[in-house]
Amino acid sequence: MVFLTHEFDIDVIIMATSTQIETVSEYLVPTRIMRYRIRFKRFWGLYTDSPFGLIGLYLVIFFFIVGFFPQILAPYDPNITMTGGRNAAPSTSHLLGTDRIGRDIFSQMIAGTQISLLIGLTAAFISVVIGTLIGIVAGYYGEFLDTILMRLTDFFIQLPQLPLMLVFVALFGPGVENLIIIIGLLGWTGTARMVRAESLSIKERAFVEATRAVGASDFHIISDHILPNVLPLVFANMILGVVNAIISESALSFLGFGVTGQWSWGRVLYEARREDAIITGAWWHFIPPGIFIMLLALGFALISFSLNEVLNPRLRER
Amino acid sequence: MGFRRYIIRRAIDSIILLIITVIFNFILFRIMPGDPTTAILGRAGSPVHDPGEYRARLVERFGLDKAILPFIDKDFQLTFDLNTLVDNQFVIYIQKLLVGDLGISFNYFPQEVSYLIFGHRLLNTIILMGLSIVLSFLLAILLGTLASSKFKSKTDMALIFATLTSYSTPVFWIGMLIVFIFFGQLGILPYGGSPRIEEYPDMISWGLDYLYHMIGPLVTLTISFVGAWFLIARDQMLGVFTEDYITTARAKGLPERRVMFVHARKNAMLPMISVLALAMTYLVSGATMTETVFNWNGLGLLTFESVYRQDYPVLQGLLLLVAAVAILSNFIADLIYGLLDPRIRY
Repeated sequence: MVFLTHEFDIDVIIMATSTQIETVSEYLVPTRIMRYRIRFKRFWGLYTDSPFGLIGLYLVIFFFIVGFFPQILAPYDPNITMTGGRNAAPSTSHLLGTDRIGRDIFSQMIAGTQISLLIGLTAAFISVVIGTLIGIVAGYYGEFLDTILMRLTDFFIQLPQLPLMLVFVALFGPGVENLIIIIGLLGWTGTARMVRAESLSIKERAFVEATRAVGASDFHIISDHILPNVLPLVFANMILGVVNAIISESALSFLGFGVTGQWSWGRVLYEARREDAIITGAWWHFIPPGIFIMLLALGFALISFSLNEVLNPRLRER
Repeated sequence: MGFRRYIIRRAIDSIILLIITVIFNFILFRIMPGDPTTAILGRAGSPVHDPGEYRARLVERFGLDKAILPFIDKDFQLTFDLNTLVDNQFVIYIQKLLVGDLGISFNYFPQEVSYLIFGHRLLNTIILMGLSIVLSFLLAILLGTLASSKFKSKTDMALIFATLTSYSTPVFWIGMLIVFIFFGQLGILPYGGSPRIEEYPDMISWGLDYLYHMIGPLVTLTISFVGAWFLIARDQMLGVFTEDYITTARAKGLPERRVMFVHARKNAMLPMISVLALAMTYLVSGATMTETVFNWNGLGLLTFESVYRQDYPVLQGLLLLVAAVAILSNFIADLIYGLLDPRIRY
């Protein structure tokens, strides 16, 4: 019965195409760990084919480190007025200067890293869970459910995200939790479409038919065969979702409807706008947060791009 | 399935979606805790001078003292009063909607929501968004063709990196940079705003100043749109390159330029139509961020203001307009798809 599972299917292909074929043939039956290692090596080779994937990974790791140790890295409390003066330009004591009340902007940026990462990751995770569920149900059960769910998805894809988010913020109020929920609830459409397409093709494959023939339940087929096969693509989609979530957070916070109690990069930009930093020429107040958002989002975007190059079946053929 | 049946099915789908949207829009703004009128009227600095009078007008106009839906009274309790079957807020809402009455704004008090939305704001947004969409669409296709023809070359990589960067950059921050550099430092662009024709002696001077004020937001929007569309265009072109008819065209000895621009691009354009259909919604939703940064008086700025002032009637109207345009443009995209690609029938 083992031969009917998809793992066998994929491994045959991997073993046939892998450069590690000699090592494999020394053992008649490759162990599970070995299979994973081969798979990972092959993946890593493709992933590092262009420099983008690595650059993205370094960027994200950098921000993760910053986000995990804000207390160590931030020189001051971001909420306390400093003696260094108000609206001071960057100096050795205040790396990115101070705002109009005299708070250290560099410390605000460090503190904001955590919130920006938190919102980006959790909101994207919520989106992906919803999208995967809808996609699998639509793709696997098909027929009537599929029509309804896909019409709904089409509609949500069409609706512009930001105005919709703004309406929800107006109704339910700002704050980190609300922001996560609102961004998460509106970002599932891409994943749903993709997962549906994948599950449609997977459920027609021989190994699924064979499993069904021996009496496996729908739940078993979904959890053991369809889900493992769509997960890599779902993961790539989630990374792209993080980019959108980070940018949405910064946009909502910039308008003053997002993070208010804590610090986030969007909030630093909001304060900069409120203090007319553009006109007063306080470039240190609004240029660094934008660059931080850009670099973090770019890191995730580069990873997503490289993952897509590896995983997207349409691009893989070339 | 024939083309006619395909279109009819799509039309029915669209109408059902539209009905669902109207119901959703009605309910969304009524599940708010408390009376929808108290939120704004009780607040200090409310633009409404006589809350009592305003509330009375609202209650009378929209029947706010009546049941919300059939058999559900205004406190969301179940009732078995048969009168509620036709005499409820939803029926009134639909009746008002059919004659184009979207209510009165909280913020711009005696003004009608329909007047606020369908006026110079809508025009400002359509002009700005229309121009930037057309510009970005052409640019994305051009760059996408260029990048895909030099697949994995330095040009390709540089273009990908540039567009990924623009995709990852908040659009309002690009706007802020443009204002900072070209207004703050160089002084060659205006700070913002959208000139109104009433303030100018003649059309030409107004038109020139209008365009002058539009440069900033236009460039900002174009950068952000190209970032999003370039990769799609490139992907589509690359997908087409593996098709047999491209090989045939090359085998016939056609010059590469002809293969690229005539054979490949025509077919790669089909999926780009759905991109364009998506963009149609932006025509009316506006770019809230860009309009806010540049103080461009369009629907995006109105959205921002309405959220800020909790102007629910205006938000409700905006949401309905955007959803309706979304459904319509989706339908039109399907129609064009069906016409251009006879294989698409489902």
